[in-house]
Amino acid sequence: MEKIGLYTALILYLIAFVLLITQSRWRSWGIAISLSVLTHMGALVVRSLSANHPPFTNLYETLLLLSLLIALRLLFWQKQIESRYRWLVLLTGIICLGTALLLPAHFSVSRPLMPALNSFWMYIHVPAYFFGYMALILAFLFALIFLGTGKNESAPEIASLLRKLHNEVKIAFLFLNIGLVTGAFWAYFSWGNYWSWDPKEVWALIDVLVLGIYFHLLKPRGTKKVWIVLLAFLCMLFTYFGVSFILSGLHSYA
Amino acid sequence: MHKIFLRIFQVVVILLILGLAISTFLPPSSHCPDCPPALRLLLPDRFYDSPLHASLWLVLAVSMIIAVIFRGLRTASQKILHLLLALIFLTIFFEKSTNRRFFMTIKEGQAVNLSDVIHSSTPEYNLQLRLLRFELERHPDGLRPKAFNSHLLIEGHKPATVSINRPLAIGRYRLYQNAYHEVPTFKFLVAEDTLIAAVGDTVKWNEHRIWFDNYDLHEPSLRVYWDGIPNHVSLSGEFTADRMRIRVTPGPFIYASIIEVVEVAGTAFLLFVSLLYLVALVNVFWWNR
Repeated sequence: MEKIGLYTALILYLIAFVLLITQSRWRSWGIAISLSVLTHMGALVVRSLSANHPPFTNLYETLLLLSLLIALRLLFWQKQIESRYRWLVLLTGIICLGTALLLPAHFSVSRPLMPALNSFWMYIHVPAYFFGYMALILAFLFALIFLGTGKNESAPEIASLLRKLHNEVKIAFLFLNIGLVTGAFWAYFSWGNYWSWDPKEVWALIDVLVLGIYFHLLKPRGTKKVWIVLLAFLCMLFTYFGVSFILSGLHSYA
Repeated sequence: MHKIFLRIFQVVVILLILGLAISTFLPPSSHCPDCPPALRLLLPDRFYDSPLHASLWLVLAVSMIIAVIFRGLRTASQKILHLLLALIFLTIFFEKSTNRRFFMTIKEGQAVNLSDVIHSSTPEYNLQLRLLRFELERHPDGLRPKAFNSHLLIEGHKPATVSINRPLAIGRYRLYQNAYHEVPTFKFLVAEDTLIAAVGDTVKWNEHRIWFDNYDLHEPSLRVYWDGIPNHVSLSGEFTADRMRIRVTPGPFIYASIIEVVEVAGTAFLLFVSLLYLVALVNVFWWNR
């Protein structure tokens, strides 16, 4: 049931994507993306009910969550994304959902929660991080567009693009900080230790520090900002995937 | 002045990022005895507690405070945000240097005195903690653990349970469920009496003291001390002491719960300041641009 829902959502996202790139009106692609978001959410509800916990506990589930957040962002805050670049955002969501569905079968097996994860804090900590990741992905897309469309910062279009990028970085910075603080709260209430210098914690801190440099530039020019966003995005990718697959620690399940 | 603080911030943060990132790829010092000295400094178990790491955070905190005092920051909301961040760093220094952590292992049915664990003579902590039962709750699949619960009886208090995500507060200390292990027990048939004891326990019988160790699954034998005199016995065997034949038979396994006792001074304040920091961040970014 869950897989049927997810594959249906993927097909609907692809239809919405085709409608978007063919310059269709909001009414057509909007209906397609609304239906796909509903189907996607339905599949996640089915997953949560069958697993007895929210879909935040492993790579497969978090990829499903991330793709849903990207689609929701496109659906409800579409004015923040210029119409000609919306296909790029939707394509990123499709890639995340497609990656989740292409993962080997053992990644999608639902397992009961381990004792430490059975906490109220999980409902804030994980969504906060993935909301931050979603904003950082959008910032990364804007950075790529900036690099692809020339670097004339005085042009109104580029200035608008940089403002949008800045807004996404602020959202990402806030939510990564919320994730960091709530993670510390959770660890404190679970183990009496708010920080363990676990590789995932260290890399989450590095993400925040890199974004911290973004806000403390001597001459905050667009090109510098864009390169910092690219670096922050690479650090985020390593925090999300690299730490889980290359390094081991308290967050090995994630 | 503004530029100086920005430059200090950039240099310190870049050093921190490099140090932290490299340390995650290095093994602990026990796995790298021949590492070059420069690299040894960045080994994870050394770097995180090193003076270099601490001083980088300290420079960051102090530079933020100086930036606020000497108008290195422009708006009031920015000043508040940076002061809160500096306060977080300084509280972590205070908390790390003053708070103490202890571990206690209690076997089912046995008791420990909290004041012995925390090395305190304060009457408030002169309490016997008895582990009534350790409970390993499992998920319906019967395999994966759902919760680890230590059911404790605290002298002068109602029974209480310590489990992961549910610590128990006693004064300035909190008790956290840390780990558990299973301990084998043995029955000693002495005359008409049966005594049950776990490895490492001392039991008394008619003024005699019996204690045993050297339990080894691969070479099943015990070293039983009868009033301090060692006797080697197989797991289901006999030995003679004081002209009595004492029979030893394996008993059931019991649980030993490992509980971490943490002094929590400063931590509640740290969490409160962290919340204020998040509010200040929203204020700087959106409410008060």
